Amino acid sequence: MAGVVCLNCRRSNPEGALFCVFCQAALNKPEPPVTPRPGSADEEPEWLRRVRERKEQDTTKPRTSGENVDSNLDAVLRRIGVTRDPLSGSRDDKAPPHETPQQAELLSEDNSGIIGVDNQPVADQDPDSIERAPDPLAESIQAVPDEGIQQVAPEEMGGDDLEPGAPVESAHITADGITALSALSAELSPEPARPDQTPYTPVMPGLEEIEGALPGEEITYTESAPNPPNRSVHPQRVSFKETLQAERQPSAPPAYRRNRSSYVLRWLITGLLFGLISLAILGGTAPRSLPINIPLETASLYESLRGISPGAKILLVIGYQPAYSGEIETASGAVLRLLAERGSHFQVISTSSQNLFLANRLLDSARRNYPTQMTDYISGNGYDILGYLPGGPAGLRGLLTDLPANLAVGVDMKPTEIAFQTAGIQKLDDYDSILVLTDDPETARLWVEQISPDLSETRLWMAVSSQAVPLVRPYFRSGQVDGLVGGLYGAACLEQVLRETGPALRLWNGYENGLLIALFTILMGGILNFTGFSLIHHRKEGAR
Amino acid sequence: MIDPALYLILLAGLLMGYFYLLESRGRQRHYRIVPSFARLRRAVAILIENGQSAQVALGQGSILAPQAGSSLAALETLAGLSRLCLAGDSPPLASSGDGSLYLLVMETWRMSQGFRTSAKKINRQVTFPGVSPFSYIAGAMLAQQGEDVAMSLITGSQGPEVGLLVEAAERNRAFTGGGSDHLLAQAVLVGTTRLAFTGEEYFALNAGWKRDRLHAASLHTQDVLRLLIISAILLGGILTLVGK
Amino acid sequence: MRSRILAILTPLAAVLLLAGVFWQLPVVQAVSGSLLGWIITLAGVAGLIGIGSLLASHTRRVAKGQKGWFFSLIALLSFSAIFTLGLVLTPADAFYTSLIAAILVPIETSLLALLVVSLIAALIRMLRPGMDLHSALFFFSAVVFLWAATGFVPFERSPGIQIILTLFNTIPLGGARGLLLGIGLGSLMAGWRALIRPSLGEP
Repeated sequence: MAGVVCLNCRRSNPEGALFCVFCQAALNKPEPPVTPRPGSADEEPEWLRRVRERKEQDTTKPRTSGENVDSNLDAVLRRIGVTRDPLSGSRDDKAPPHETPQQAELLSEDNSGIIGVDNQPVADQDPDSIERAPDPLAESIQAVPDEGIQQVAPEEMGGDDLEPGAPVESAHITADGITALSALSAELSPEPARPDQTPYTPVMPGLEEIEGALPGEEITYTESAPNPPNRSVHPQRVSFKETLQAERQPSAPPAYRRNRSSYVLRWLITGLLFGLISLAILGGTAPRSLPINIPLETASLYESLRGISPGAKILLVIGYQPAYSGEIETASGAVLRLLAERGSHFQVISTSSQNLFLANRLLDSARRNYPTQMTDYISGNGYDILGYLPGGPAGLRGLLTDLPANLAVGVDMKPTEIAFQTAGIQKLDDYDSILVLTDDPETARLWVEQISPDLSETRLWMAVSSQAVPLVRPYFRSGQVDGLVGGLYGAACLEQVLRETGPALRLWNGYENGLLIALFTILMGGILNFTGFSLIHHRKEGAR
Repeated sequence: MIDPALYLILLAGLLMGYFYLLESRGRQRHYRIVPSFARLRRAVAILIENGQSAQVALGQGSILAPQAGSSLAALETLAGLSRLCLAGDSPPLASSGDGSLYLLVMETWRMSQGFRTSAKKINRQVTFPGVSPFSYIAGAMLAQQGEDVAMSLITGSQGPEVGLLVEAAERNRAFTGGGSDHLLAQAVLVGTTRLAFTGEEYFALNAGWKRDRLHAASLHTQDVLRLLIISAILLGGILTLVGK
Repeated sequence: MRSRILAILTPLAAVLLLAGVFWQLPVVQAVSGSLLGWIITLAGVAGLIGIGSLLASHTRRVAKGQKGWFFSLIALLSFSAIFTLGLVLTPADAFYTSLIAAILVPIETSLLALLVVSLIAALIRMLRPGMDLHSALFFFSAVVFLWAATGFVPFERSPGIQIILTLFNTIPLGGARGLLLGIGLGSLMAGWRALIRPSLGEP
């Protein structure tokens, strides 16, 4: 995998990562190795090679600050045809060999420099051979104050060959001139100035080694307060500053202001639903417009319930959320009533850890709706709550392989072994029927796919929410589910078959009203919404 | 006798390996243009530019359950979105309602930290709002408040109660979108969000951020397997009609 | 090193579990069963971690006095009370389960009712100028199925209406099956990606 290896933890990171995804250290992308191009050494220009060699030589040569200035000064003076009296610069104890007694006397008086290039009388020198100073230096020398340079009379000079009045190709340079020329030389020197040199030293650390770096002096800056920008003069600057200022201030999330119309809509819907449904339920009128056709799956469930043997052992699976408890309790009421009528024994499990408390509520609700048939089903009589089955599909497979081991401890923290032994249950097939109560088609699908293929005699029934019916019905049609009751509609059909007014038929009018209100609200509201937006759109078009 | 499902699983793996090799050699196929992905990318770009954050609800699909595939796809989406948002210093707010998924979300968040642009670590923005579906939704709705959430992305395995979360996001004037493996949730998302990804579009969501060779190979494999299944269904239907 | 361990362990665990599903050999079943038991236990522990994280966030909110700290305090107190009662009375106690049901059922039922109102409002807002074909079809099918559910279908017993009603019942089933097949394929490939990524060295 292409990416950067973290230097801290030595792990490879994905492309684009700036920090290691494992140890959060900053990733330093390795510098690509600089490979010399083939033949580059031969292609290097001559002048570049000479500069590099000179640089290498210069870096290896030890220097002192004094020698630096002195050697530069000598080079400058040589260019302009002047040599310096060593006595005026770096003094040696040993007298230079060219010094004559007259020169020594002269020098001892005024400490000036001398006299001719290479210690030869100027007159002997070919004027053309004398190196002229480069232009910048010549210009600089022009700038040297006149008092720094003195014309020395030929007779005072060491050589007698100099004719009086002859143009002086060289000149004495006084101490001031030496100082000026030293400064000039240091400025034009190719070597970088040393920090201990005065008066010009670079103050930026690290620039000492850089060739050609101009020395600088420490400059103290004084700032004056800027004039505040004038909006009329600099509108962009003012707006830019305001934008920057606004960016620095944290802004709270904009508070939502809902349109009044949306409040009205929601309250209207709520009022209609709540009002008309409550009216229908509390009114206690007989159910109207009952379904004519009983769904095939509900009829099959009824037939299957009638065929159950007395004292049947039923595994009751709680697989629905508390929000759907009203619907599921209504849908399963008639089923539990029929089973209780035959003295069935329920063993209750839950596939969700949060919903086991719904077991007691379910059976209490069924007992309230059918007090005659379910009198005995109270406080643990007639049913056992075995507990929660963890692991999803893996847990269901475990039920098939070893039922008691996968439900070893009940909700009361006691072993379920006794409950299984009392009921005579050793494996899943020992149950007469499994009744799954769920609102989620995925839970129903899980039981069908994991359990149903391995059941031989045990029936699989389902009481589901109406939202899950379309997805569970195909399993009934394929024969994997033996009976299905879906929502309030299916329960109402079952109660019609039983010719009893159960919870479904008591709620039927409210259910019908709710559906009609929802349909009416959606249609009318949709038409009004469409019309309103069309009018607004036309107005905008007209305004343009 | 070997279960035919095993053949399908192995075939899927072989095909994915083959397409991955093709991708590695540069023989890339072009994706079909899905306008929804472009809209989603634009929404993300706008929120990053404005310095706002996104909320990603990963649902409650346990790794042990059949919903694990949906949860894994949601994690991939979160990883891609986190990388984008962290590069703009606006971390997303992630929430999950299952313990094992919560651990994986934290791990994904930690991995995404490597793509932040500043050296300063960003506080973890992973929450566990609730255990049951409705309590999870209620907690996720509360988590939105007080945060400058400009986009609410619904992913993972969630039920129809996700409509409440969408309503809360719309109330905060956030851009809403997403998908789920739950059919009922898909129906709710189509009716309430601005951008709904149904069916297999949801599993291709991560392809909207960046071309990933492995993801591209798996999408091509899905195309091939889908054609095989369609052929098998048609063949089975014809044979049933004929009476075989 | 860690990525190498992951690259080896992940496919190995997948192979073992798959083998347990498709082969009924006792050894294979025993190994996959044990592995599954560990995974289920770990998932349970992960659930505890999630709950711990939830409690920690509420505690942090109360400690720092952030917005909504009072409601977090109520949540923490309620959790403590229910947890303590559960330890004392056990979840089998009728009073305990009734107490929880009395709190949870009305809350969740109310949220479901809110969802109904929100969905109706969303359908109303869907009908507007410029709506696309997708939205129009969605609106139309929602209205039609709501109407069919009311039972007020004229000429319900006529063969023509019966055919139409059968069509209305069958088309959604086919569509749902197609979606589920696609979701199944997507889940399968997502699982393969999760298996292969560690082997490729990707996090």
